[in-house]
Amino acid sequence: MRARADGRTGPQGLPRARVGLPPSQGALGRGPADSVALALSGIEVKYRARRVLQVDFLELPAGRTLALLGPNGSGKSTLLRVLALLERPDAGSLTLLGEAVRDGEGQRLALRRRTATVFQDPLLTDQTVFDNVAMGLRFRGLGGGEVGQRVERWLDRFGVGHLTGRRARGLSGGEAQRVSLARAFVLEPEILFLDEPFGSLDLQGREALALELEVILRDAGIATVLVTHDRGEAQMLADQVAVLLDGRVAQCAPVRTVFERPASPAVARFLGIENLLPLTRSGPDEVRIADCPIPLVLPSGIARPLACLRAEDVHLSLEGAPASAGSVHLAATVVHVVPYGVPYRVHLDAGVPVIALAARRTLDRLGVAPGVRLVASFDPGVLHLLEDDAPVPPLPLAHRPG
Amino acid sequence: MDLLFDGITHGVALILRGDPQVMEIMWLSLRVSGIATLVSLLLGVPLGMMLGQSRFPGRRLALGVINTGMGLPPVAVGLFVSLFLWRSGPLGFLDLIYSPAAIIVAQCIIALPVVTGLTAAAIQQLDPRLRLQLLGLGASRLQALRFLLREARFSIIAAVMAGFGAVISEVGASMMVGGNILHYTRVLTTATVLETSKGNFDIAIALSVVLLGLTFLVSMLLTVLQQRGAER
Repeated sequence: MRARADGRTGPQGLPRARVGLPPSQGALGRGPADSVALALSGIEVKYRARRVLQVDFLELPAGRTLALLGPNGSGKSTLLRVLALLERPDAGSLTLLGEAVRDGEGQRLALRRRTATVFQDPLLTDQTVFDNVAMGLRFRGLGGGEVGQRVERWLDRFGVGHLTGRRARGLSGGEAQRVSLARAFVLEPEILFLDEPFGSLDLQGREALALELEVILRDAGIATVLVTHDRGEAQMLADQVAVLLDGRVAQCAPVRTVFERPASPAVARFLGIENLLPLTRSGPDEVRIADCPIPLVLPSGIARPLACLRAEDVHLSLEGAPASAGSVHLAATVVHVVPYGVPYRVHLDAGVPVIALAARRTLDRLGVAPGVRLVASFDPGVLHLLEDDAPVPPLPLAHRPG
Repeated sequence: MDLLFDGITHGVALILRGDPQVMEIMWLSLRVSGIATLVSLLLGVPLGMMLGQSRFPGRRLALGVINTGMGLPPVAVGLFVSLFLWRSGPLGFLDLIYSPAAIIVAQCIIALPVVTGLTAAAIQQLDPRLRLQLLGLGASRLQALRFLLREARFSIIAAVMAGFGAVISEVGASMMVGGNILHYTRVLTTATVLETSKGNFDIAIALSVVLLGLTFLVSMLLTVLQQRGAER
């Protein structure tokens, strides 16, 4: 049983995955060892002396879903192959289902047989659908009627029960991926590894299958590691998200935290937060965006603050229109308008570049076109503050301290 | 023209009559080349799989050598095998020269690179992630290997056909290491050369027709095997 609606924290209210921390005091309050499906520390993978992956610490509680989210080449698939015991890391240690993973192939095989992996492409063998789904059970030495029942049950569960006698080569992409998922679930694994499981599907098929998978995962309660570059998939399926950038975990936190409070500008940019507005201190208790004062108290310790602001939180209105109280109003000029999905993206110049989302109707009402002057408003409460990570421009010699 | 026509009618008559000499030679050819193909299969398929899917230093060189070996001239093989098997040669104590076993050895050397090279190519054509997928479903390394072999089966049957075709049709090596001894090491190709040089065109034609027919039958058998799997 998984409680997904409530707080996304572990049994003791601790964050369920910690990054960059050794499993020290924080881990002591945990339940029995088997409540952690998977834990790793100090994992490093090198290809030809180039380090492609370095993860200090990561763990996945039993029954939860962890998304490894990152752009192409960020090392997320490599990490999945290491976790699924399909690739040996150059350094580090791994614990799966309470067992420390050793070098011997015997133990690795035994542990692999308690897990299952699904890749982006269905990778079905040239056999019938039934034989494909039965394959893993037969690897485990099972046979007879039990295999048949389990295979049929999971084919039905993924809506492809009618294909059981068909040859796998003739299936459509969507059917093949459903068979591929059934082939993993039929094993009733204790940990499931999904590497971009919808990557080979078109947008519609992708959404439909993701929705189904969400329900099945919730019912089955299998600890799952999901590799994806798609933020929506991570939001839909995961409890916990680890954002991988350049082979390192840039943030690991419950899914809402990651999306609402990204840990760094790099994470915020990857998550698609359109506006990272530099804040300037104009007085002891005053900060500004461009020339506009913001009613905000800067926490100490942030030297070069950036404010994350989602485009959908920016409201556009005409100059001189009645303003809502408590909002920040930036005078802005439209630079250009880009149709992007259903809402349009409006690029503005408010002293700093600002992006807003608006429906076609709003654009018509406001007469939005390049050069038009508007007011861009937002609730300062939605701002999330970060430390700028861009290199500091060098100070003129005369002002250099010390 | 008469010569050709007479030769063909006599040749066909010899086959239809089941001429004991022709039959004897045919069976020896089939046995020798069959065993040679089988041995090269047993060695070449595992070797080809290893070359096809593992990465180790010198792999490219090994593949290059194997691919060169696919076009190995049978006379050159015959020469070197002879040098080794002659009474005075390093392997002379085995007393194999001018025996069917010597022909098998030479034909193995001809077929092995063909089978190995084509198997390696077949394995490399498979999606490299298929092996990871099989392991990810709980296959042991051996089980994964078996499935990969199964996926590549059509290409591997083609490799068998190519290997058999190469050895059943070669003449140089059989002649040099077997010696074309009547009732002992005379195979279809060496007999055809001999009978042609003696002017016995009817026997030579009969032998050629048998050789062609044999190659056709074996290839057909393997093709049926291959396509039965493909069409299902």
